[in-house]
Amino acid sequence: MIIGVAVLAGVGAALLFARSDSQVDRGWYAVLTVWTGWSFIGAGLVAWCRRPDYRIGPWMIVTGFLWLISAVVAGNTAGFFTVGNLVDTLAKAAFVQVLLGYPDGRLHHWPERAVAAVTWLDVTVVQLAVLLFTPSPRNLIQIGNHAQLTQDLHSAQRWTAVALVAVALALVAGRLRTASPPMRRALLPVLTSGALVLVLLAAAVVANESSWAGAEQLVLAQIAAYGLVPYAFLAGLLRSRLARASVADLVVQLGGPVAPGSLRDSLARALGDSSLEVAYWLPESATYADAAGRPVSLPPDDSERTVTAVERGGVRVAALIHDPGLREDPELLQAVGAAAGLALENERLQAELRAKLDELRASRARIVQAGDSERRRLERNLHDGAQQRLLALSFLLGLAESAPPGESPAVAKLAREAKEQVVQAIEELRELAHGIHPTILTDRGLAVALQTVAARSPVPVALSVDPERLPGSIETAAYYLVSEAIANATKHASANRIDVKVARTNGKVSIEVADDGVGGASAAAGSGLKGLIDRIEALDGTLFVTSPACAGTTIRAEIPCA
Amino acid sequence: MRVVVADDSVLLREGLVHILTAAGFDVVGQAGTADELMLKVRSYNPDIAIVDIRMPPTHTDEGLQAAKAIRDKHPEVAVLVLSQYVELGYATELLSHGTERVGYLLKDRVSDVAEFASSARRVAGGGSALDPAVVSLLVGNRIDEPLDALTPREREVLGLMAEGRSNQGIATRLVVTEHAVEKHVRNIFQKLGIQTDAEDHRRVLAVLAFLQSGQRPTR
Repeated sequence: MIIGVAVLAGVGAALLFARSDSQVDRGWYAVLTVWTGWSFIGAGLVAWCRRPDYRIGPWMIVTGFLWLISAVVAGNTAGFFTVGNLVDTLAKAAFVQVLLGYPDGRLHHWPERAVAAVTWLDVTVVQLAVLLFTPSPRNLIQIGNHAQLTQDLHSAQRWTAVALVAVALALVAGRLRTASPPMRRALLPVLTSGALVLVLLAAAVVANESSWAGAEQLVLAQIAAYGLVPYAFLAGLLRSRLARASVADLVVQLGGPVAPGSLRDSLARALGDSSLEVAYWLPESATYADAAGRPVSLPPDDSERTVTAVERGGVRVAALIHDPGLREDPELLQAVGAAAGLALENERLQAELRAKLDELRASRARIVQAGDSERRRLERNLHDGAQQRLLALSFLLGLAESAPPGESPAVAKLAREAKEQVVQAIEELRELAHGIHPTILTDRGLAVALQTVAARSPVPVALSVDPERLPGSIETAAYYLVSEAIANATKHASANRIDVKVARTNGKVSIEVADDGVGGASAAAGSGLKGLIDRIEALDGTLFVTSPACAGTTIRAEIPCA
Repeated sequence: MRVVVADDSVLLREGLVHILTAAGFDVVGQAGTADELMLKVRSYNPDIAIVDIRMPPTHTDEGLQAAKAIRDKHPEVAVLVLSQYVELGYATELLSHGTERVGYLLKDRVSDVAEFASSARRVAGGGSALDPAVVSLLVGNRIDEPLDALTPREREVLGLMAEGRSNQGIATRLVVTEHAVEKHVRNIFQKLGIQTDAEDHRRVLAVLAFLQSGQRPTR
C-alpha cells in the first residue's frame, strides 16, 4: 500500500515538475526529488521490516513522502504555489528528526528534543510568517508587501536551518565520541553522509545569499546528497553483511582446539565488543554461570548492558551480555551465536561441571561445619548436664565420707567407694567431652590447645606451632590431624620422638607431623586418617602421607589460607 | 577464713558452699557471673575467691579473665580457679605472673574435702596449688630429658613441689621425715642446675619456670 502511494506520489511530483513553467532546471529537480523521496521511503520500509520495534523506519517513510509533497511548489496555479511554499521545508525538519533519532528513532535526551522542536518551529511557523509577507501574484495568503522583511526572514530561516543541522550533527558526533566500538560503527556512516548534507546546505545558503551563479547547481547537489543519506542509514542499520568476514574468522578459529576460557575472547573479537561476557545456562538450577562455574546474574532490562540468548536446537545454551550497540546488528549476533553454538555448548557443559564441583565442595564444607557445631553443642550439653550432676554428686559423697565417724563407719566406707566410682565416671566423661570438642581450641587457638595434646602424649613431642590465630575450620582440622597422627605414632609406629610443625606461608597453612618409628603407614589403611582427608579436602587442602618402611612416618597437610 | 564462690551452676555452687562451710570456711558471697564476682570481691574483700573457669556469657574463660583481674586489682585476695578440663594453656596463663596466692585445680578435687580445704588454705595463706594432673603433664614426657638424671623419688618430690606443697606437706604425703625431703630438694636443684632459696613460693616459681621451658612451642 505504501509502495503504491509512493509510486503515485512520485509520478505526480514528476508530472508537476514536467508541466512547471517556473523552474529553470526542471528535469534535474524532478529526477532528484523523486529519487530522494523514493530512496527515503524504500530505505524506511526496509528498516521498518528489519526493526519493527524502532521508529526510524516510519520516520524515514514520512521524510520520503514530505520530499515528494514538496514538489507541489512546482505547480503552476496559485493554490499549488501557496500550499507548496507552506510544505516545502517540512522534509528538512523530518530529516533532522531522523538524524537525531538514529538508530532507534527516539529522542532520548533534552538537547535532541530541543533541536527537533526548534526545527519544526522553523519550518512551520517561520515559514508561514515568511509566506504571509511574500509579494507574489500567486500567493493566496499574502497580507502585506514587505520585500525586505521577507528577504531577511528568509535568510534568517536558512541560516537557522544550517545551524540546526550543525547542532544535530554535533550531538551525533558527541554520541560517537562516548560510544562503544559497535555503536561507533553504526553511527559512522550516518555522521559522514549527514556532514556532506550539512556542507552542501551551508554552501547553497551562502551561494544564494551572494547570488552566485552556481547556486542552482549547489541546491541540486544538496538534494542529491539528501538522496544518499537513506543508503548510509541502511548501511549502518544492516551492517551485518559487512561483518561476515569476522564470522568466517570465528568459524576457522573454532574449528581448531579451543583453549579453556579463550572462547569469550574469540567471540569478543568477532563481535568487536571487548566488554562481552558469556554466561552459560545451567538448566538444573535455572541460573547462569561463567566459564569457571561461578554464578552470574544477568543485567536488568534497563541497564547499560544488553543480553542476547544463544540457543542450539531450540535449547538454551548461553547468554551473551554485550554492549547495546550490538543490538543494531542482530544478524551478526545470530551468525556469531550459530557459529559458536557447539563450542558454547561444550563450554556450557564444562561450566556446569565446575558449578557442580563448587557446589559439592561447598556442601562438603557445610557438612563438616555442621558436624563441628553439633560437636560444640554436645560438649556444652555434657558440661552443663551430666558432668555437673556427677560433680555435685561427688561433692555430696565427699561430705558424707568426711563426716565425723559416728554410729556407722561402714557408711563412710561405702560413701568413699561410691565417690571413687563417681570420680572415675567424671574422668571418663571428661575425656569423652574433650574429645568431642576441646573448648580451649576455639578459646585460645591451635598453639595453646596443642600444648596439652603434646604433653599428654606418651611419646615425647616437639612442638613448633605458629602462635598466630587461624580460621576456626582450619584450626579444628589441624587439631584433629595432629591428635590423630600422634595417636597413630604412639599406637603403631613404636616411635621415640614426634615432631609437630604448623606454619603459615605463601597463602597456605602447612601442618606436619613426623615420627621416627617403623613407617609403612598409609592413609587408606587407617580409617582415622581417611576421615581427616575428608575434613582437609573440604577446606580445599591436600594430605600427603610419606611412610617408607623403617624410616618413620610423615603426615603433611596443606590448606589454602588467604 | 572468708570466701567468695563463683560458679554459674547453682547446683555446683551450693555443693561448694556446703563443703567449704563444713570445712570451716566463712562463705561471705556467691556469684553466678564474672561481673557479680568482681562486685562481691570489691564489697567483701575476702581472703580467697574460688572461681569456675567457664562462666556466662560465652562459657569459655570468663572465670580465668576475672581471676587475672582480681590478681591485678586486688592482690591481697587469693584466687583459686576450678576447671572441668586439664589444660596446660590455662594453668600457665594463670601462673605466668607469679605463684603467690593462686591455684588451679580440677573440679574433681573438691570431693576430696580435707585435701581441697588444705589447698584452699595454702593458697589463701600466700602459697600456690597446681593440680597434680597439670603437674604430671609438665613432668611427663619431655623432649629434652634433663629429668632423666632424677631418681623416681626425686621426680615425685619435684612434682609435689610444683603442686605448691611445702617440705612439711611433702614429708607428710610421702611419709618420710622433713629432713629427707630437704635432702631430695637439694639434690634435685643441683641436678637441674636451679638456683634458688628455700622460700616456698620462689621455689615453686623456679620449678615451674624450669618445667615450662620444655613445654612452650619452640618457635
